[in-house]
Amino acid sequence: MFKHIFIAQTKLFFRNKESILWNLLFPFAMVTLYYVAFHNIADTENFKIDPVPVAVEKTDQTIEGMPFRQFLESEGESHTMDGDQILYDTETNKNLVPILVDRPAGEKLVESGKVDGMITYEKGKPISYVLGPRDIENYRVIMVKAMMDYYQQRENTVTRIINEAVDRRIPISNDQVSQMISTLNGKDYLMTLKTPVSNVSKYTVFYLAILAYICIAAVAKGIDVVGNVEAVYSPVSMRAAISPTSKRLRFIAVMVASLVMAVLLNLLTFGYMLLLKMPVGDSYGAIVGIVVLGTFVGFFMGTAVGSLLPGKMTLKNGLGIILPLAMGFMSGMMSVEVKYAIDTHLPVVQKFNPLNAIVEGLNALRFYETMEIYSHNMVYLGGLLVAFIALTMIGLRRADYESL
Amino acid sequence: MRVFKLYFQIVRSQLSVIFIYVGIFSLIAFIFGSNIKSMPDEAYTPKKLDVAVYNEDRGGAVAEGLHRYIGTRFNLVDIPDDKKSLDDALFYERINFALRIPKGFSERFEKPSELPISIEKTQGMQENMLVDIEVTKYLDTWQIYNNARNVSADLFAQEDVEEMIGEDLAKETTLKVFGSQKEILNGIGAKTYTSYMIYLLMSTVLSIICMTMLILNDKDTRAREMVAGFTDGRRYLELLLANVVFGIIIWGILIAVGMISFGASAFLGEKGLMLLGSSFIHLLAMISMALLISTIFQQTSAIEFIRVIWPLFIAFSSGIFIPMEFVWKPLQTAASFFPAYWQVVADEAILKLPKGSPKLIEILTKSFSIELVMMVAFFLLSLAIRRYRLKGENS
Repeated sequence: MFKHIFIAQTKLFFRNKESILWNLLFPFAMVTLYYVAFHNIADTENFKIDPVPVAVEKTDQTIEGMPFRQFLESEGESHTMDGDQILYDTETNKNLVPILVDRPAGEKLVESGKVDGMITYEKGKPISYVLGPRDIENYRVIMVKAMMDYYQQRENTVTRIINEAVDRRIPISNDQVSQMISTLNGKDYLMTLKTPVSNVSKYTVFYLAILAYICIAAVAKGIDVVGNVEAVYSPVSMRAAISPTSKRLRFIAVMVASLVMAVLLNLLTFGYMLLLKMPVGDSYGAIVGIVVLGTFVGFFMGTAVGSLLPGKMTLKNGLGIILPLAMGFMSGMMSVEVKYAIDTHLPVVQKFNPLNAIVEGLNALRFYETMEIYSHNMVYLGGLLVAFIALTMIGLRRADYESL
Repeated sequence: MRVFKLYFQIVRSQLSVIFIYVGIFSLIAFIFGSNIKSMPDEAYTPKKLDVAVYNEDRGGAVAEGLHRYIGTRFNLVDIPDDKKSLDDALFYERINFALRIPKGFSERFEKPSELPISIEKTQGMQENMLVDIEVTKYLDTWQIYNNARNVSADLFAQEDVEEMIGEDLAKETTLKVFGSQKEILNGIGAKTYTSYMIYLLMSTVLSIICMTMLILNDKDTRAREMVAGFTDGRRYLELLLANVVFGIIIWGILIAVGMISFGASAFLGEKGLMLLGSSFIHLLAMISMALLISTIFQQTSAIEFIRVIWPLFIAFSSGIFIPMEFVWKPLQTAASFFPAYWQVVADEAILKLPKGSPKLIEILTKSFSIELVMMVAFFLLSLAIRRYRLKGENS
């Protein structure tokens, strides 16, 4: 009988258009969506920062020939004005587009959003950078500030050396000063260690989260299996219930058929991700292991929800969609910042999120040389699996129906 | 209003879906909101990153100086010097980066290519930029003083170099924002919230409208109600009203959550009210789109498929989950055929441009008009498809 139900269930899978849509098309559509969405940022090495247009207020320091003016001219990209439009080469390697204007015109440019902010440098005062309304933690702000800091700190150093030389009556020529500074050009003090994490973008979490989501999305299949077995949910399951086959055997047969399909499809999806060269890692054996275990956890979470939760099948089906999405949301599937916020402020919630355990396991494979964190997450997922199987067994045994 | 009541009875059966979405969203809104509320209304102060420094060149002047300087710019975190502890600290983001200054660094500083400082860091554009800038700045300045002493050792004493560098590097660009920082943070908070609301509204309003309409559009249900004296037109009007009322209720709840999380002032200022208006217009366009989807797709599985995929597609392509500059250009073009994209464009303009500026008025007029045209177009299209279907059923 097991064989009969198993074969029938497998045939049903391929004959049911809805099931084909959900099981085959859905994971591939999700992966494709992520692939296309992060097309630009998959490779951070090639990501280019556009030059930042800023207004520079005309002061005594910006007069032709002054060092600050020279600095702006050498480090900044030139521009032309077409009416009120600022035109410049966006492909340039320079980071700044300085637009020399008087204060009212500069304020107008900032207010109209045509420039990021306005730089003012007057003798005896530090450089100030007044920003338009934008995210002040933004890299564009950091970049402009770093350039201005660099200039005034360097100016301070050189002025000090010259003053010391004058005070101590030590002759130093302009050439010697230039040489002191020019020897620094291109010197790189830092060597980034080639740890795997430094080679990938933090946006990789998106890819890991989508793989984990696809595993946990098996919740819906688990709920379906309960719907097929419990007599109360459909005329088909009611007919099956009066057949001379025990519920346990029917459940096991339907469950095995469904689970085998889920695992195969998720592995196929993983293969598709590799085909698209998504950076999910290269420890293929370990990834396959966590994908299989994750699918089991998702599936049996579904059977537990389906068998224990009272209510109609439509509600449970709704949960089958919502639960993985909610867990994915907390694990960085939609926003890495949300994952970090939950990790920091609500670590207890994250501890009970199996999708996050899969993400951490996958991330650990990319990060660590050892398998410790990965194994820890696998054990945790294994524990959850046992718990969900036990809950399913409790939920399925001896259900009484007032009427069918 | 029997159909109207029936509509909400069906919605009631899907309340758990709404609760889960709104619950999680509220939780996250509270976290982000409390972060913004705790920021002072003063000039900008940069965020301090967490760093572990392993100085193997104890006693070396340059190394010790750099170590102390890093301590003034970042939060020094004590992490044991073994690979596992360091990897764990980086993996769990207890530190943003780790610097290792090798033995003999100070002595051989003039030939740094032979012995660079090694650095291990997590990813993040800002973090990478900051650490590179600070270390390079410090060592470059030290190098200048070294070069100066090579010209004449009488210029200053070697032991004064560290203090002089500290004074030089203390000269920083002051960062200010136009107007009050708090006001801008409020604007950023409200804008972030209303952007994320697009995804949530799609996942709740759009999906529940589609599912409910699917049930109510059932041929037998319609036939029964027509026998009971309900004309198809009146029935449709009641459904339309119910959809709009339902959408407004959810929208109102979410705005209330936003006001509690970010403070009412974030939404009741000039920019906040404009953002609310923008969000409301998008809501109307989205309800219209939901009507169209529920008219085109008549199978539960198709609706379920769309309710998961569609909000994600819109959120990733319209610059809601990732900044617009990161979104692949063809995907942006595809997104511009849907109202969410235009809400994001309008919200960006509201945040960045001054109230009443011609540019802002131009962008808002364009974005809102497009959204309203889309709303009408979706509605008319759904009416046309519906009429075509009804004709088919009657013939």
